[in-house]
Amino acid sequence: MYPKINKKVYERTLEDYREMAWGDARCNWCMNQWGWNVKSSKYNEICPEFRYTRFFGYSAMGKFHIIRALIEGDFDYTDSEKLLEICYFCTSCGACEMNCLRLNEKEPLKAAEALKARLIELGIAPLPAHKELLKSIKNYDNPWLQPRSRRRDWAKELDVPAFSKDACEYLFFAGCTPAFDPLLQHEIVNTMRVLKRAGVTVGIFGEQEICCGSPAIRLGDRQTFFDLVRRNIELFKNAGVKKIITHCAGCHHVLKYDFPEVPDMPAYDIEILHVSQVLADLVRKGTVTFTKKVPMTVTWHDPCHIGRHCGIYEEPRDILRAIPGIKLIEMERIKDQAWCCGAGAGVRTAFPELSFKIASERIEEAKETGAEAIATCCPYCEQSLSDPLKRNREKLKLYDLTDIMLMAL
Amino acid sequence: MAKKDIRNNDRHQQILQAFQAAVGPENVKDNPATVNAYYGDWLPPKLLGMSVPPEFVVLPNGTLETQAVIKICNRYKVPFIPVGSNQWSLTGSPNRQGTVIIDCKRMGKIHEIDEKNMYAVIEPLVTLAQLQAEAYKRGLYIGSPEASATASAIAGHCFQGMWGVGYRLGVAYRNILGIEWVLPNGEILRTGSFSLDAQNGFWGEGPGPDLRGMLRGYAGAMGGFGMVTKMAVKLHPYPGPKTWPVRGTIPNQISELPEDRFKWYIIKYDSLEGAINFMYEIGKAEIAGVVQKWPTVYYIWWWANSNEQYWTEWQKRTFQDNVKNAVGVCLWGFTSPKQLEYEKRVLEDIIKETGGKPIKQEVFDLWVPRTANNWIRDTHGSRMMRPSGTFLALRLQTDTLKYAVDHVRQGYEWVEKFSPPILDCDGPDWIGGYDFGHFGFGETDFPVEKRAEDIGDLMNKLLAMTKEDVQNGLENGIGPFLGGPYHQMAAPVFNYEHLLKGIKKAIDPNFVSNPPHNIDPNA
Ligand SMILES: Cc1cc2nc3c(=O)[nH]c(=O)nc-3n(C[C@H](O)[C@H](O)[C@H](O)COP(=O)(O)OP(=O)(O)OC[C@H]3O[C@@H](n4cnc5c(N)ncnc54)[C@H](O)[C@@H]3O)c2cc1C
Ligand code: SF4
Ligand code: SF4
Repeated sequence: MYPKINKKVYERTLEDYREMAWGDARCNWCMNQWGWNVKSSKYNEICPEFRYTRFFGYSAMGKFHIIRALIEGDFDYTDSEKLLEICYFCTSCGACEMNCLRLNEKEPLKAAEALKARLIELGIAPLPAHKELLKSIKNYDNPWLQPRSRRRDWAKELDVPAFSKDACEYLFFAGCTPAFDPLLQHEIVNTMRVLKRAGVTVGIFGEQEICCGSPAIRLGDRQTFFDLVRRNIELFKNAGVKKIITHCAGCHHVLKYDFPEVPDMPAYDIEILHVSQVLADLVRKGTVTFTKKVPMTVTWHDPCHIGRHCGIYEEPRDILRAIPGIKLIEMERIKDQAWCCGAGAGVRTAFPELSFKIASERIEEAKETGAEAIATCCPYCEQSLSDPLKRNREKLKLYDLTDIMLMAL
Repeated sequence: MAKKDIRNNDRHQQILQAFQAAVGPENVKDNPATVNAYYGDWLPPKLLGMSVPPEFVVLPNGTLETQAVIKICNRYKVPFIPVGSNQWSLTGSPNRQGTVIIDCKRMGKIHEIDEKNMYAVIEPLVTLAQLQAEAYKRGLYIGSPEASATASAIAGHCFQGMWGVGYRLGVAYRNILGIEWVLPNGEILRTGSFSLDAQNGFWGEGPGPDLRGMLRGYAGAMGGFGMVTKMAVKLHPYPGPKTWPVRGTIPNQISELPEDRFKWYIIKYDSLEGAINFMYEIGKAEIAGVVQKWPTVYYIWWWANSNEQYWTEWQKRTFQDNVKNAVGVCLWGFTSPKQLEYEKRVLEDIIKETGGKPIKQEVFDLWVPRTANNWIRDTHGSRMMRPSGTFLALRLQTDTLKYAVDHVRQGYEWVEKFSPPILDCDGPDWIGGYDFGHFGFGETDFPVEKRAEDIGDLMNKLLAMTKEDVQNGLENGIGPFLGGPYHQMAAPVFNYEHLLKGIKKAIDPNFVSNPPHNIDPNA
């Protein structure tokens, strides 16, 4: 049988991917939409990095060959300028891994992230723009150079309790980006409002919350990530947290799937749920009913980190479909084959123009559906998609899922 | 320690500047990280020490830029390789130091789809999946090789060209119409109606002798005759929906075509000969859209969502006990639902007369919705590599169906030696009829371990076997897909070397177009 890597993801070294790299099938599925899903020649491609570079190196397939060559000593790390570009143009959208795992049982994104980890270990990475981010995480527990004391500001106007295990069924993990960015705060504010109306008992950590570590691990900084994971688990355990609701797709992915992959993790038993899962369930049960009509055609942008990485495709759609007046129209590339917003893994921070191109393509795809609005549920997606909307003064509106829910409640 | 950097060399710099002037600096790369991404292989020339990283990767846009790049290659006498999706890296990986990869990643236009005359004019990046999607919208279709619909449609047409719908459409290369083509010496050649009007590719013949043959052959020219930059390909009438029907997300997808126009049958026989006889009879009746005899391993390779599921199902013997010597047939109501009804009656008569039996309904229901339509759209062939890392195809033949049956079994010795146990069901033989069964194709496919350590040994044995075959006057097998090394051995034996070398000398005087493919004129 083709050898599996029987190690936790973050115990693996680059060398653990040797067989996978040698076994690359060159099938190109990491760059193209799954064949049955291709609906037009225009929206065939799936890897945002490759789409705007055109050289194989900037694809999952190419990275396997680079990894193979590095492991075998065909070239070394002195070619760091392009190697850095190749590694850090990748948004960690996971499209490659989705198709490759299914077809070939390989994990090209995990291998590419192991390569980033190697670059960090060797001191070649991070890029200057990412260095600041990582330093900020270490100094302030958030990537945005913000004082800890401001972390709860977003909830000022709200009547949200501090988490206590007796009073709250759930901890709401707000996430750094929507907590500190005034343009994104509406996402978590509305999440709180919707959850409250739905009768969900939820509390927050407020100033005690710390970064989930997503930026660190996506950039390859394992040590910073491991440290945050341990501290987070300690916080959760000390507070007696049993269930966590997330809004940020990046936080959700990391809490649910990356935390358990850390070596020597202390045992914990916490259920991680995305807000769309909790609310879709309540809509299904009839606990939440939408009373107001929202006459609008909407298209749904699947955030990579809840969609492909966590399999949450139907819940947000179910919610939108349950709202009277909403007509959901789909783009060509959706669900497991969705096109990325271009923000992930520090791409928007370090390469804003690349990120802009990727986001613009999504906006174009959304506009072609004829929808009046594009909805999503991730602060990074919202930031990134709003870039072309603002720059080009587009008519297309952009909403968070909870914004629309609130309109209907 | 850093290796000697070839980029410091004056000649390298001159060539680099020439390429940059021709296609723009952003479309040329020579740094080690980028060029190493084009080197290394699922088929292991790398392991045999037959392949080296390219010196440059160049991305021209259009025929004129491609011409400029190829002229530079001639000026500096550096080898180049045109690549499509680069899946067939056996002939798409550099064999020579200093090689230039000419990648088509900026040539992705569909210039035209002429619905009335049923053809498309495409550039080399256009994949079969893209062309299929656009064709369906217009009530037309085109196939996909087992490799995958990610393959360049142009490369697919001038390489092997075997596809699931070949029963109806013939081999892909028979569907080539006009070609716009930069020859190895940098001249632009336009064939068919492109020769009169570069915008119009509807006609394939002439002028003069039909030069399309140079790109066809058993496994095409393998980049040894320059680069095709535009091609008109035939499309065919399609009775299916305008968007491919698919439900669910990976890995649990289902695809069902409309019942009034398509119907799958999987009919099994007591022997392989019985199955092939059935295929002949279907061909004689000129019914159906797809007719394939898949080996048991194909059923399970294509169906399983993971290796784990593959082996679990293998233990259960779901497929081994039920699909041995079975033939998959998809009837298409090309003109109307009535045609489908008619064809059903004809097929059911044939089944009765030939003593066939449908496979168990539960196995049919398990397999068909998830897998069968792969043979119409997008075959996802790299699944063949999943169980063990890679696969080998032996005893490939393109002759008659009967010939295929006679020959596939010769591969079994290898299957037993080099593969996990798979012969407890039936031979891993894939047999397909083309052109209503007038022409048959067969190959024995089996998984082999792809470990850096041991695959080299296997490949050496394969080369030795090919050599022995040629000496015994056998032209069949994997050999032709090796390209140059095979033609070097076989051409003098089968007496086609003068033709091949003659063409090569005439259009590739500097021997720069993917040496040693398709033949070394000086050897
Ligand atoms: C798992 C697997 C299964 C396969 N099964 C089948 C099958 O069932 N039927 C079948 O027909 N094939 C099969 N193949 C081979 C397959 O046809 C080719 O890999 C594919 O169609 C070629 O497309 P490509 O874009 O990958 O070509 P590439 O690999 O890029 O090129 C193939 C050859 O054509 C040359 N070439 C590419 N583009 C051009 C151009 N524009 N002008 C001139 N020469 C060019 C290249 O130099 C190379 O030698 C299989 C391959 C694999 C890996
Ligand atoms: S999908 Fe996977 S195996 Fe196929 S080319 Fe991409 S990385 Fe390689
Ligand atoms: S994760 Fe996304 S951007 Fe990165 S290589 Fe894979 S498909 Fe491309």
